[in-house]
Amino acid sequence: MSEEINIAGQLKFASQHLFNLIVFIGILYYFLKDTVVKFFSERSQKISREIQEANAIIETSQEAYNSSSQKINLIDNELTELRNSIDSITSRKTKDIIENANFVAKKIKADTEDIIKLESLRLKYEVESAILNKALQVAQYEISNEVTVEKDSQLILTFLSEVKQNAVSNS
Amino acid sequence: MPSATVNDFFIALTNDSSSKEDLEKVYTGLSNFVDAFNSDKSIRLCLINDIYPSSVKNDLIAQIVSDCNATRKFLEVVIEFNLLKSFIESREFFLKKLRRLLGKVKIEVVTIDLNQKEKLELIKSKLEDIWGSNLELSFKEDPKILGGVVLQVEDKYFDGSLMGKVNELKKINLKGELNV
Repeated sequence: MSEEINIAGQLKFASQHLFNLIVFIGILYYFLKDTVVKFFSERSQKISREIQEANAIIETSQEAYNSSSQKINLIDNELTELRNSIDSITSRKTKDIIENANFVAKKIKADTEDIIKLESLRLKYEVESAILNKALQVAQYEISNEVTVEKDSQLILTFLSEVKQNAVSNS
Repeated sequence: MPSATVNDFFIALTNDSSSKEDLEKVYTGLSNFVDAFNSDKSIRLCLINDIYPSSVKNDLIAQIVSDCNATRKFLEVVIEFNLLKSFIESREFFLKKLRRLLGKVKIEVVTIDLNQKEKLELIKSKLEDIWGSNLELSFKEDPKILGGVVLQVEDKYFDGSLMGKVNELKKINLKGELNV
C-alpha cells in the first residue's frame, strides 16, 4: 500500500515538474523566439557572406595563380630562348675563335717561313761578304807586294790619260 | 738699310786689285791666313772668340798677313763689321773664287810614296797637260791606296788608286752581280 502511495506521489511530482518545464519552455519560446530566429538568421547570412568572400578570394587566388602560371610559362619560354641563343652565340663565337686561331696560325706560319727565308738570305750574304772581304784582304796584300815603281807609273799614266779624255769630252 | 756682307767686301777687294800681280798677292795673303787659321788652334780661338778686342785680332792678322796690305785691310774691315765668322765659314769658297779670277786650279795629289821624284814630275807634267800650267799642286803620301793616284781637283774627286779598284770590287757579290 505504501509503495502505491509512493509511486503516485512520484508521478504527481513528475507531472508537476513536467508541467513547469512545459510552461517554462513556452515562456522561453514566447520571449526568445524572435531573438533566436534573428540570431540564427544573422548567423546564416554571415556564414553565407563569408562563403561568398571565400569564393571571391578563391577566384582571385585562382586568377593570380593563372597569371603566375602564365608568367612562369613565359619565363620558361624566355629561358629556353635564352639558352638557345646562348648556345647559338657560343657556337658562333667558338667558330669565330677557331677561324681566327687558324688564320693567325697560317699567318704565323707564313711569316716564319718568310723570316727563315730572309734570315737564310742574310746569312748567305754575310758569308759571301766575309768571303769577299777575306779575298780582298788577300788581294790587297798581293797587290802591295806586286806593285813596283814601273807598274805604279804605268797605272798613273793610264789613269791620267782617262782623266784627260774625260776632261776633253766634258769641255 | 741692308747691312754689308763678306761678299760685298770681297768684290770690293778684287775690284781694287786690278792687276794680276795684286790679285796674286791677295790670294797668297788669304791663303796664308786660311792656312794659319786651319793649323793653329790658338789663332782660331782668338779670332773667333768675341771676348778678344778687335785691336788684338788686327795685330794678329797683321802678323799673319804682313806681305799684302789689301788683304790685311780686307780682314780688318771684316772684323770691324763682325763678319769674320761668315768669312771663315766660306773661306774655301772665296779662295776658289780668287783662283778662278787668277785662272789657277788647285790640285791635291795622293800617291803611295813621295820620295819618287821622277814619278811626281811625271804626274805634274801630265796634270799641266790637262789643266794648264797655272796649277796649285800639293802632294800627299798615303800607303793605304796601294798604288796609282787620287786627285782632288777643286771640288772634283778622281780616284785612280788600286784601293779604289778594290773598293769597287766590294760592290760585286760572289755571283758577279753588282750590289747597289
